Amino acid sequence: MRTRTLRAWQWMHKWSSVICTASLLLICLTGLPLVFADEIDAWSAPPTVYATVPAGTPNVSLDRLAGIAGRMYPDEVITGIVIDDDEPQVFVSMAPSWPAFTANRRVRHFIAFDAHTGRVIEQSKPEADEPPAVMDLVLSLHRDLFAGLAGELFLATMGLLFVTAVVSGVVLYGPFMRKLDFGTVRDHRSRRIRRLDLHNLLGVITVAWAIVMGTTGVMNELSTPLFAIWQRTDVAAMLAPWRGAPPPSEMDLSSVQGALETAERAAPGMTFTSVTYPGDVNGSPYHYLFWGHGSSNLTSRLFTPVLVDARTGQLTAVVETPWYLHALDVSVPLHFGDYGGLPLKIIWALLDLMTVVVLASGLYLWLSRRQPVVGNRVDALEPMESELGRKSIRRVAE
Amino acid sequence: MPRSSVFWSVWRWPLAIAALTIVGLLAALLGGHGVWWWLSWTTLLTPIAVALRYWPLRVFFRGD
Repeated sequence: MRTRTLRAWQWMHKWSSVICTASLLLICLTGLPLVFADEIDAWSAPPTVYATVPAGTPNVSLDRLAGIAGRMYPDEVITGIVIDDDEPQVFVSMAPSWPAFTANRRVRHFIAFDAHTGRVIEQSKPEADEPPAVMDLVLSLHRDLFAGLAGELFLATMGLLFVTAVVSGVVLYGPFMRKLDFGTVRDHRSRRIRRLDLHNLLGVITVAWAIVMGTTGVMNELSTPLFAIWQRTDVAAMLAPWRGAPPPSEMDLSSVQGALETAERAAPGMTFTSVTYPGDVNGSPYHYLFWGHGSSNLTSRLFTPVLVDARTGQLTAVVETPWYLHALDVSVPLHFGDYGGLPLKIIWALLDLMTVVVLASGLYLWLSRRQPVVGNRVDALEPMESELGRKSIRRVAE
Repeated sequence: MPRSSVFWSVWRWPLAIAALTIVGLLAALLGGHGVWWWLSWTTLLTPIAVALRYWPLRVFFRGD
C-alpha cells in the first residue's frame, strides 16, 4: 500500500474512532443489561396468573374486549389493540380523545385482559404519569440519549462513524501484521505496545460481529424516518381514493373482530399481533391497520400490514412491505441477539465486553500518543512506520 | 515471501473467524431451533475462544 493511501486510512481510523468512542462506550455499557431485558423483566415483575383452559381454547372476541374497555372508560377512545403471541393476554390501549392522543402519545393507557376469559388482569396509568421503569431508562439512553428523534439521528451518525472506524481498522490491520504472527501480544515490550497488540487482536476477531452490530444499530435508529417515508409514499398512494372523505366516527366503526377475521382470511398462515384504529397518525384515517407475521424463525420477524376498511369491514389490501422495512425487521433480532435462547444472549454479552476492550484500548492509544518515554519512542511508532519504509520491525526488535 | 503467501498468513485466521461469525449469526435466524441453535452457539464462541487463547490464557501456550 502506498504511503499516502496508508496515511489517509490512518487519519480516517483515528478521527472516526475519536469522535464516536464516548458514545459507543455508552452504547456498549447500556446494551449489556438490555441483552437480558426479557430475563430482567420476568425476574422483577410478579408473574401474571392466567386462567387454566383446555389446549386449543380460542381467544375471546376483540369486540367483547373493546366493549368492556368502552364501558370502563365511556368518555375515551380506543387507539389500538395488541394481541400477545407469547402469553394469553390482550392489551387494549385508550386515550381521552384523538386530538389529545395526537398532541401527546403518552396520554395513552392500557387495559390488559386474559385472552381466554376476558377478565381484566391489569390496568396501567397513562404513560406520562407512570414512573419510568429502570430498563426503559436504560433503553432510552441506549437509543436516543433521552432526546427523541434528534438523539436517534445523532446516535445513527455515531454508528456510521463506528462502522467507518471498524472498516478502516481492518484496512490498517494488513500492513500492520505483515511481520507479526496472528495473535501476537508482545509482553516483553512497553505497555503501549501490549495494548496496541490487544486492540488489534480483539478488534480483528470481533470485526464481523461489530460491523453487523453497527449497521443494524444504525438501521434501528432510522426506524422513525423509514416509517415516515413509507407513510408518505406507499400508504399515501393506497389511501388516495379516500382523500377528502370524512373519516369514520366511533359510531361508524365495523366489528374489529370481523376485520381481524377478514385480515386472517386475506393472509393465511399469518399471526396478527396488533391493530391500529383509524385516527392514529401511525395508521390510516379510514382503516383498521393490522400487523401480522409468519411462523418460521425468520418470517416471525417480518411484519406485513393489512388494511381493512373500518366502515365496511371489507379488505382494502395486504400491503406489500418495502425492502427497507423488511431490512429494519431483520435488524431488530440481529442487533438485540434475542433469537437463539439464553446461550446466544450470553455470547452477545461477551462479544459486547470484547468491543468495550477494543474501544477502551483504542482510547488509551490515542490519549497516550505523543508522550513517548525515552526508550519507548520507537515502540510508539512501529510497526506502522516500518510499513512506511523506515525500519523493519525485526531490526528494531533486535 | 511472495505477496499471496503474506496475504494468507495475515488474513487466514481473521477471515476464518469472520466467516464462522456470519454462519453463527445466520444459523439461528434462518434455521429453526435445536441443531441450528447449537451451530450458532458453537460458531459464535470461536472469537471468544480465540480471545481467551491469545490474551488471558496466553501464558499457558508459551513456547508453542
